[in-house]
Order: sequence, then C-alpha cells, then structure tokens
Amino acid sequence: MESLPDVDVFVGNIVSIDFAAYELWLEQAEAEEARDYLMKLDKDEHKEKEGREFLFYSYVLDQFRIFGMLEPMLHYPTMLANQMTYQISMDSQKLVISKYYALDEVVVREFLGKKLNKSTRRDLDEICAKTQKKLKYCQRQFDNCRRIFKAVEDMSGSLVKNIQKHFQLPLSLSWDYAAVVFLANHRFDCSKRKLSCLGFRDFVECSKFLIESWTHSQTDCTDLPQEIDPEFLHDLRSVKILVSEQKLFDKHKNTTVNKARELMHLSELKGSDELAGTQWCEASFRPLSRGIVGIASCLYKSKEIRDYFIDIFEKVVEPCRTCGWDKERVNMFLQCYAAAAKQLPQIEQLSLTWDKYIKTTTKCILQIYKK
Amino acid sequence: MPGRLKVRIIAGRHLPVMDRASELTDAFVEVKFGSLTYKTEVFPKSLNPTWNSEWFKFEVDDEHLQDEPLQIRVLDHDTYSAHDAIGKIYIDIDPLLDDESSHVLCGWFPIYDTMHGIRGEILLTVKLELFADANQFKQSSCGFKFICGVTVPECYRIKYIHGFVHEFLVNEDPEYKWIDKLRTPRATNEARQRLFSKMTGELQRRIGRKVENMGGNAVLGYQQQFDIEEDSGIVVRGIGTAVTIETRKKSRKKSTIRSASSSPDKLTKDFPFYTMKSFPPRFLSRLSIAVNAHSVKLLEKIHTGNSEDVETRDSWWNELRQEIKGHCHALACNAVIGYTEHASICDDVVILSAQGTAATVNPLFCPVSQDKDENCDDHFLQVNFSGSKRNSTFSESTVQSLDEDKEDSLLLFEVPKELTELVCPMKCQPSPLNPNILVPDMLFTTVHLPNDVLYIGKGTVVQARFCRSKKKGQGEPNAALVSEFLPFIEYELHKRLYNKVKIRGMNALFGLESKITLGENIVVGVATGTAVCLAALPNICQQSASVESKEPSTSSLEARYTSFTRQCVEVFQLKQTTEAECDPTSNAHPHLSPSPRSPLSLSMDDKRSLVIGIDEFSPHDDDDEFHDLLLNDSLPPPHCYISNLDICPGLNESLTLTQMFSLLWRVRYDDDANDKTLNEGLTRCCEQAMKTLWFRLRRNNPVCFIAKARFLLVLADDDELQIWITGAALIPDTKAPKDSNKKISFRNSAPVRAKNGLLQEPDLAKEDDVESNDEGDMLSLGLDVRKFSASFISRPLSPLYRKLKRTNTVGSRNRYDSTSSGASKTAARNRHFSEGGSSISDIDHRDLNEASEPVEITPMSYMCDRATVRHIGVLNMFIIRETTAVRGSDEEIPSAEPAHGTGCSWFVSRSLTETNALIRAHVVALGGNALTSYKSSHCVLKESLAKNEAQCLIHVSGDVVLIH
Repeated sequence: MESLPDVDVFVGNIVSIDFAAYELWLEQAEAEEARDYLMKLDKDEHKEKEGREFLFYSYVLDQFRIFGMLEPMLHYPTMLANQMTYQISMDSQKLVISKYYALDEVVVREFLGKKLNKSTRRDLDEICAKTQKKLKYCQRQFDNCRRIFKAVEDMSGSLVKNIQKHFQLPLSLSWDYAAVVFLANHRFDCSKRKLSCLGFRDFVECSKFLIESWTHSQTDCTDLPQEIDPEFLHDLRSVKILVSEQKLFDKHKNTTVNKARELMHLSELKGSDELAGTQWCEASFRPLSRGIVGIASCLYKSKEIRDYFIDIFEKVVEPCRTCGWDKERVNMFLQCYAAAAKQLPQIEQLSLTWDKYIKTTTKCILQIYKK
Repeated sequence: MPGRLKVRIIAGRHLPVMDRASELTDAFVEVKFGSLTYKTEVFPKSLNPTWNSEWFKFEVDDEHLQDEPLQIRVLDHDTYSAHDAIGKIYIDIDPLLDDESSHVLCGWFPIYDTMHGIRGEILLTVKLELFADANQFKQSSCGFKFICGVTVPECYRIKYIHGFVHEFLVNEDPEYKWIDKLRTPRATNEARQRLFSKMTGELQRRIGRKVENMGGNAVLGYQQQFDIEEDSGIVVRGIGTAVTIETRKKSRKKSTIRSASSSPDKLTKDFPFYTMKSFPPRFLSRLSIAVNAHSVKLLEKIHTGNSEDVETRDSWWNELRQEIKGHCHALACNAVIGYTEHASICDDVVILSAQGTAATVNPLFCPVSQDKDENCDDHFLQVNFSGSKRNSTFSESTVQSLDEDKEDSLLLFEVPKELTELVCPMKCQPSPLNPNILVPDMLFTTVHLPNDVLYIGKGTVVQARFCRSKKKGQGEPNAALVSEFLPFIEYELHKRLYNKVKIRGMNALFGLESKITLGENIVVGVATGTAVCLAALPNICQQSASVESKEPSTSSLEARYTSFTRQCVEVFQLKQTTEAECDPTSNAHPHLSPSPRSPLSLSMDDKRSLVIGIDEFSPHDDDDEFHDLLLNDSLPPPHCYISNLDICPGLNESLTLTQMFSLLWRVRYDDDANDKTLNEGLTRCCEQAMKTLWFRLRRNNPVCFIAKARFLLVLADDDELQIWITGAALIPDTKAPKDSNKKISFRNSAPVRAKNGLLQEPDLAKEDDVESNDEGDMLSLGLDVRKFSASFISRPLSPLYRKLKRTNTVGSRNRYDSTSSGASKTAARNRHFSEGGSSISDIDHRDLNEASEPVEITPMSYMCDRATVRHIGVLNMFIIRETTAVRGSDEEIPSAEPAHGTGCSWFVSRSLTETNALIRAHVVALGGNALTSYKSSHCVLKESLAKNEAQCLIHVSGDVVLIH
C-alpha cells in the first residue's frame, strides 16, 4: 500500500485561517517553500521529527486550498461577510481582506498613474524583474488596483468612503487605493526618471492633498468624485498676470521679499547676514514664480495635469535644490509668495482659487522636497 | 391533519453570471410540491434579484406533507432556448409538522447544483397551516419526534421506553436506470436527490405509524441508512427506539397526551432491541458483552412494486436479528442495547451486520417517586453533558458513602453463576471491589459508559484492523468465499482488540463499533472502541503486581511489552488509584515502584477462550508481525486524549467545542499485494491519518481532545482505500471558572452527588497539575507562547522575509489596527443588506446576529457547556456532488494539489465545505443554532480520471436543536 495518500483533505465546520500560511500564499510561495518556512517557524522540540515534512506539506496544501476557494469571494469583500459557504469569524474575515488588499508599495509604485488596462498588465513582467517579485504576485497587486478602480469608477459620493464600504478596507488602506485610483484616472505621469526618487508614500500623500482640495470628493453628493473641479481650473488661468504684467510682477516680488524679511526677523535669524537674507529670495523669485504660475495657468489642459508632478519637480523643487535651500526655507518662501500674491488687488478676486491652488501645491512640493 | 403549505420567495443574492455578454442573470424561481408547480416573475439583469413573490399555496394531505420534499429551483430565463438551471433546494418540511414548532421556516438557503456546488443564495419563507383531523384510518404520522441522538436531549425526560422500531423501503436507483444513458449527469443526480429525499420522508412516516401503534411519541437513536445496491436498486433502512418522552419543564404540570400506560406492543417482544447508547437510571440492571452477527447475501435486481424484493430483504434482516436475539438469550440477558445495523455492498454481494450489547434491562423502570427521579435524572443529565466524570479517586473517607453506588455499579458487570458453566464459557474473576461477585476479566460493549460506573484514569480509542485479499469473483462462489472469510476476520479483530486493550492496562471497551467492508479484491474489518479501566473489573496492573512474575525472563519482547504498558499507565494515569486501592502495606511510590513485571505472564492462565475469542500470546510465539502490530500503536500526543464516545472518559475539566471536523485520506494499494503487505499498509495508513489529524488540530490548540471520533472505511475502487474520520475537537474551557464545583451548582443539579464524588475533583485536578508539571512544565510554557504567536502573526526569520515584512506587511498592519473599527463595518453591512429590499430588514437583523454566533455542528449528542433548549427536528440529507473537470478547469486550484495527487483534493474539500454550509442553512432556517449527533455515513468518492469525472456522495444526519 502506498504510504502517501493521493487525496488528503481536512475540513472543519469553521474555517480556521493560518495567517502565516496566508501571507506566504499571498506572496505566491509554492507549497514546498511554504512548508519549509513554516517548519522553520515551528520550533516545538517535543514533536516527532519523523514525517514532519509530510505533515506540514499536507497542512499547507489544505490551507492553500481554503485560500484558493476563498479568493473569488475576496474580489467582492462584501460578499464574504454574508455568504454562507464558509463560516469564518469576523476578525479573521477582516484580516483576510485587509491582507489580501495590502499594497506592496514597491510594486504598485511602478505602475502608478498608468492606465490600469490589459497592456499595462502585460508589461508587468518588467516590474516583476525589477522588483524581484513573482509575476503572479505583481499581477494580483495590479488586479486589486484595477478591480477597485473599475468598481468605484462610476460611483457617486466620496471616493474614499466608496472604497472603504465596498471593499471593507480600513481607512488608511482605502486612502492608499483612492490615491492609486485618482492617479490612474488622471494618468498622472509618475514614471519620469527624475521622479524615481519619489516613493509610493509621496504620491499617496500628494494625491490626498489634491483629492481633498481640488475635487468634490469630500462632499457626499457628487456625481463625479474623481474629477478635478473644472471651474477652478478655468479660473486658475487668470493668475497668469502675475508674471505677464511686469508691474505686478515687481510688486509681487517686493512684497514677497518684504514678507520674507519680516519672517526672518521674527524667527530670530537675525544673526545671519541680513542682505543675504533677502538675497536668496530675490534671486530665485523670477524662475520660481514663472514656474509656479506657469503650472497653474496651464492646468486646465488635461495633458498638463498629467505633468503636474514632473512640472513642480522641475520648475520648483530642482531650482530650490540648486540654490541649496532646506525644506524650511522652501516653505518660508512659498508662504510669503502665496500671502504676497493675495495682497495684490488683481489677485484678490481670485483669492479662493489662488488659495486652493497654492496651498495644495505647497504641500505637494514640501512632500516631494528631499535634500 | 391535512394542511396548507404556503411558500414565498423573497430575494436572492450572489447569483452566478449566466449571461456572459451582460455579465448578469435573469433569474426566476420555480416552487414545486408534489405535482403542482408555481413560478415567480423573472427578475431581469441582476445578480441580487428581489422577487417579493406572492404566497404560493399548496393544499395537501398530511401523507404527502410527510413524504414530499419542497423543491425550489432557480433558473435563468432565456427567451430563445431552454431556461438554464442555476440550482435547486430541497426542503424537508417534516420539522414543521411538530406540535411544538412554530410551523414556520424562514431563511437564506444556498442554491445547490450537483455539478457546480453552491451558486448563490435565496431567501424564502415557508408556512404550514394544519387542520385538525381525527381520521383513524390515516396513513400519516405527523408530529412524532425523531431524534438521531443515542441519548435523550436534556430538555426531555424519558417516561417510557417501548422498544425497537424498524422499517425499510426499496426502490430503483435512477443512477442505474437505462434512461441514465440518455440524460445529463445533472438530471440523474437531481432525480436521485429527489428520490432519496422522498424516501426519507416516507420512511419516517411509516416508522411514525409504528411508534404511534406502540403508544410512544418519539423515536430515539434513529439511524437511517442508504444501501446503494447499484443495479439492484436502493434500500433505505431506518431503525430506532420508540419512547414516550416529555418536556422537562412541563412534566410536573401535565403528563403527555399519549399515556405510557398503553400496553407494550408485541413488536417489543419480538426484538427487545434498543438503539440508544445511554439510558435513564435504573433501566439497566446488568451489562453483558457485545454480540454481533453477519450474513452474506446475493443481490438481485429490484423491481419497483415487486413485493418479493421487500420480503426478501425483510427476511434477511429478521434472520440476523433472530441470531442476535439468540446470542442474547444464551447470555441470559433479556435485551440488546446499543444496537446498530450495517450493510456493506460490493457488486452483487452484500454483507449484512448487526451489532449490539446483550444486557438485562428493566423496561418498567418507570419512576415511582417523581422527586427522586428528578434528582437522579438530573444527575444523569449533568454528568452527561458537562463531561465530568467521577473519577474513581475516592479516598477512605468517601468509600463508605459510595458503597451503595458501588454495589449498584458492580452488579452491572456481574456474571450470573449459571453462565460460568455454559457452553460458551467466560473467564470470570472476583471483582476487586467485592470478592463475592464474579465479573468478566474484560468487557466489550457497544454502549456508552454508564454514568454510575467507577473507573480509573483516562480512556482512549483503541482500534483493531484486519484485511484479507480475496480473488475477484461474481455470484454464488464469490458470496461463499466472503462468508468463509468473515469468521476469521472477526476473530482477528477481537484478538487484536483484546490484546491492545490489555497492554494498555485497561479492562473494558465501550462504544465498540466493528465494521466489515467488502471490496472487489479485499475484505477489511475495523473495530474501534474506547478503552477504559473499570474499577469493578480486575485491574491488570494491580494484578500483575501481585502476580509478580514467576519467571523473571527478560526477553526483549517482554521488555517491550512491559515498557509499553508502563508508558500507557503513565499517559492514561491508571496508576493513581492502584496506589490508593492497593493494600496500604505496599508503600510503593507510583513512579519508583517496580512496574508490572510482565503483563504477558497474565495473558490468561487457562486455555478457555471466551466468546470474544481470545487467543493467548506468549513471548515465545514467533509471530513477530503480530507483536509489532500491538506495540507500534502510537499513543495520542502529550496531554491529548481521544474517545469515540460522547465524552472523553476521565477528563474532568469543562470543555468547549472548537469544531467538528472531517478528514478524508485516500491511498492506493497494489491489486495483487499479499495479505501481509496489505495489513501493514492498512495499519500504517490509519496511523498516519490519525497523526495528520492530531497535527492539524494541535496547530491552533496544542492541548486538545477528540470526542466521538468515527472511522469509516470505504473501498470505492479495486485499488483504493478511503479513510473518512469525523469527530469533535474539544479544548479545555479557559473562560469557565476553574472550580468545577461552581459549575455544578450553577447547573442546579443534585447536591447529594456533588458531595459524594464530585467534590473530590478539585483535589484531583491539583494532583494532575502537579504531575503534569513534572514533565510538562517546559512544554506547557512553550505551548502558551506558540498559541499566541501561531494564531496571527508570522515571525519573520530569514532575511528575505524580514525584508518583505518591513516593506509592506508589518507597517501596514499597524496602521489598520489603529483605524479599523467594528462599528463602521457593521454599518456597511447593514447598508448592503438594505439594498436588497426593505421587506427583508427583520431577517437581516437575524443574519447579523447569526454572524456573530457561529452555527455549531457536533457529532456529540449535546453541546459542551451549553444546554439544549429545544429539539427542533431531524435532518437527513443525501448530497450528491459531481464534476466533469476533475483534472483541471477554472474551478481548480492547482497549487493546492499534492504532487502525486489526481485533482480530487479540491473537489472533496469543496464538497465537504458545501455540505456543512447546507446543513447550517437548514439549521438556521428552522430556528435552531446547532446540529447535534451529526453523523456522516455513506461517504464515497468515486473518480474516473480517464473520463475526467469525479463524484462524491455524502449522507449526513443529525438533530437540529436550539442551544443556549
């Protein structure tokens, strides 16, 4: 008689999930790898050595079978809660879902802002070569994103809340997905080489600022929660005068420099050379202002929106960096710059729009500003 | 009582996509009862349809109410071609006929398709209105309780035990009809399920009639069996014990309608058999030994309506019962208890077996004084379900008070004088408790451990297996060959069991279940029971100490036996009382004492073999194989115990059910292997399967126990052996107060008993602790840690994994923990539900409650730690699952197949999971929250790799109950 069974199945009334095995499965480990790993974990000396390999192997297979059977339901997490086929404790359900949807930041970073379609999915093998992850693992990450993207695409109401509700995810994870969906929806270009120093978190944080202030997503009653307010973008074109009219430009510059000086007084930076104190501001004002205003006035073109990150990087972050500014100084400049513009009568009528733009952009710049 | 059955289809959810183009479904529902069919409207383009149909009404007489299942079919509407079936639901409405029931059934049912499994769920309500009718010529028997449990649920009390009821039905099997060649597998499966469901109903109706004639109001220990005789047809058999029961609460106010005073029917006298395994106090007066009978028959084709077939089978079983009755009389007993019947079929040969325990009972045990009865009864109950047993750790001081009980329980085992000189001589010895009473040296019974019996230490499952290859054959010669084999197999099984029990230092076996399974080229016998060490029977360890080895031979074999026994004594704590009981002069320390010199020397000193034919073995016997077999049995893991009874004997702590499990293990064997290899293989497989089982269970709970373990051997093909093991996994209840006294008083049970035996328990527990600490201190510490860590968090070890964790999982987990809240989730769920339609809001509420409290399924006849409030009805389902893509399809999960597997594992796994889901849905819809006495019989997995097909049949039964 054969010593190993060809069918070996253990089924209980309550599905008990071994989360160590589950994580291995999520990483697309082979049953043999999982067995070896779990055996290493299990340090119980009292167990019989003999035949352990088989016991672990059959255990892993059973667990993997459960996961395989559960997987279709994980695609519709609300279904998992009220289906009747598998009796799983509430706590386990939550954990199973949030682990299944846990984002691998390294992998997801690679396809941020790309269209979540088949051709991107086909190119996943490049990502998997780059990140040293298994292809199926990358595909699952991608499919998760695409599934959520598709599900919330046509939904009205808050983007984050929709994700949270329909995929039963914790709030922070919902925000991550909201960012992925938002970036993909507007096709933000995140893959330029210059941006490669930015991580997944940077984009999530920036998207969060954008979603919160530029879309109507936070109010519950919108039909297109992901769309950036077109009126706002249209109005933003008028800020062009900040650079196009020389008089205004000069006034703006002076006010900014004055404000910077005041601030420096206040912040007890007096000890340093006062001239140099405003020097930095005056010298960089022209390129920076051109950059900031240039981005703003072009945002109404959807093509320009895609380049938002690369634009602020090239036109603001890089010049500042060349000047050797630290984050605090960048912040100070932007604060003064924003406040100064608001004092100009030409901008005053636009002040809401201007605020909305400059505050968010400032946050984004600071987020991606790295020394 | 004719009645009006009303059905309303409310909504559906999670339906499968039937139209690939739109990825939606246009579903409608057909409701069929008898020959009448209603249809709902088509709910177009939705996977979560809401029908909110009218009430479909069926006016039916009660005969049909009992026989027919309610059939619900969900279909996808197709304008141009035939509608596609999504799946079906069969609902047995028998539980609604019960007087006590609310006559309403309501809930979500999984839509089941035999080819695809569960495909969504529908919500429906069934109401039954019964009209009073006093027709004395009626054929129906509404309102009789059927209880699968072998003991009475604690919400009832037995008033009178009437006796044995049996009935069977014969039909053609649709699977083997000629028309099967023309229709789809789905059509055949559905025809089968329909037929089986209908036969189940009819069988119960007929048995109900018999019970009514006998004057009872319920059937206890109801066992239903499907014999699939392939070409010969299908036989559904039911046996049970007719009883009169009454509800505990009402008992004082009014007695039951059907009075117990009606004279016992003649049927009782025909076969004084009882299918229960536990009995009310004072019913049992003497317990003799297990008796069994087999017969081998040749099957012929069944023709529906041919009364001859019915008569033949009736006479077959009657012969067998007569034989059992004969054995019983030979043992000077008046009854057979713990009675079961079993059939094993292969091609045209069938082995019929009947098994029970001869006993002397007092059918007129009826309580004289209500109050006293209350006490005893309660004790009976409480012992039964708390699982706490009086361990025989009585000290000198308590012996006095126990004397009376001791006497009682001792008499249970007494061998009457006249028997000792009968044709089948038994080996008897004076009881260690009372030298004037003769008791057998070893006792095998099929019943549960009676409650008043004293025993030492813990019990354990002992299993004997034996197989013999046989030539493939057909017809008469084949049958003759098989029947020649039977006595040998039986002899071998008993010999092995006897010796296995003995070398474990025990002297009795309860819950014995021996089954002989017939295959094409093999006959396998497996006998399983729970061995214990009874205080009333000669104690092997004690005896051996007194015998103190005349021949100090130290052959290696003998040493092995000695060490094995010593190990058992330690593991099962058989020593404790030996010390207390033994003459106080021997100041032997339990651990240092010269252990039983040689259990071999006492392996019967005279040649007279008893009915359980036992052959003596000696160290000089060179049958090494046999010795290895006995000695290589692995014991349960440390601190874990296993039993096939409702309780684990000797476990005093209160236990909680973790869950019911099923394990299927299939191995292939060589067609032409010799008996020796086959036997070795069989042993290895069973042992290995048990090891796997322990491993699984102990992953989460290092200390756990198995109760009601059941082994089922199936020979589905000529080269494969299937082992199905089911059971209940229990763990020590950590929430309950440690003090067992508190628990008992909480249960408001008899204080008298508590003073006697139960009060001793804390001391005992302490002793146990101390003892286990000696060796298991490190272990238990280690285990605690493991328990904590194994459950959720994986500990990264290798650098690779550590890296992985740092980049994603660990960080993100922390974030989730801080933000996820239960409230938001519940709210989301609510919203989801209400999308389905406002009318189902009240059920949503129920669903939500259900979700927090899992539906329990247990093979035991009670729920640990929880009381059965109401018995709602019996559940009997025959589930057929088939696939035409066993080797691979989108359904398959390839990474989860063993390297040498065939693709069946996922299929079985899914079938079993779905079966459990169907059970749970029925339980909830009937208003229950648990299924007790779960039993899966007739589990068969058939596979044809060439055709890429596999089929799985599972017959499950149990009691739907409400527990609290």
